[in-house]
Amino acid sequence: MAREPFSGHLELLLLAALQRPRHGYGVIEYVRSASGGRFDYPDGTVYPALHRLEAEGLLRSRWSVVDGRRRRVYEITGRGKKALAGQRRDWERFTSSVRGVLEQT
Amino acid sequence: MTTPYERLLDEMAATLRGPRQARRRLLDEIAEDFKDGVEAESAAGVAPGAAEALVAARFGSPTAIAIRWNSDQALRRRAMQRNTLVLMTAVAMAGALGITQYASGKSSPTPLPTRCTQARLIAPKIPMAADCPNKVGGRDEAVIRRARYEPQKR
Repeated sequence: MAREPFSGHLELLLLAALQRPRHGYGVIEYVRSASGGRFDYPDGTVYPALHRLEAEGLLRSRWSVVDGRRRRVYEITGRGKKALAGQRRDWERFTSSVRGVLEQT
Repeated sequence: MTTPYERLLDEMAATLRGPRQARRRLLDEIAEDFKDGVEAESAAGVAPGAAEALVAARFGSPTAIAIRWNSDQALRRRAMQRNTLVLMTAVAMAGALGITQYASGKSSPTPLPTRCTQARLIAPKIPMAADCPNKVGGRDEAVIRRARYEPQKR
């Protein structure tokens, strides 16, 4: 299966993945497996995006110790949930418009 | 000899800009997640050395990621500088206004004692104590009440 460049939707995917608390590697794995390996992008690109979303108040994070290992765990905030709902609406509107055009041809 | 993982972190550390604490946190986070990636590959049967190289390759270019991070930091710094400037301007304007008022002989209205303000908020209809002035912002309360409740004459 071809890999997709998805940098334009990174924010949407990260917010969706973080509806459940996850650490950076967990987010990467979740997006990779939920997309069936289609969104297999450089892992490093996620970190600046996570920090940016946190600075915007859409995510919050904390250090947490799991199995004796320290992990930075992220989760979505109330503001992030609103942003996700808005982006999801935009995305659905966009895909339905594209589908409409394709079905005309 | 340095491992791909150490090279990656060294390269990032050398390129990252921004507050030291934020850089430290980013590097710690990447280091911990890197270990997760290596463990997952090893569990899938990849040899330890090869697993580390694989995870480092999947991470992408540390310089490109640092550039992205630096650009976000610069944007954040500029936004903070702008906010500080707006705040300082507001404070300076308020100060200048106060000085102008003072120079022209008008002093600020004397604040009411706290208990008077609280009494007004809690029970506005009960008459005030004798030492609570019956004024709101310099206007007589009776005038305000008339303006509110009496129909305006055309």
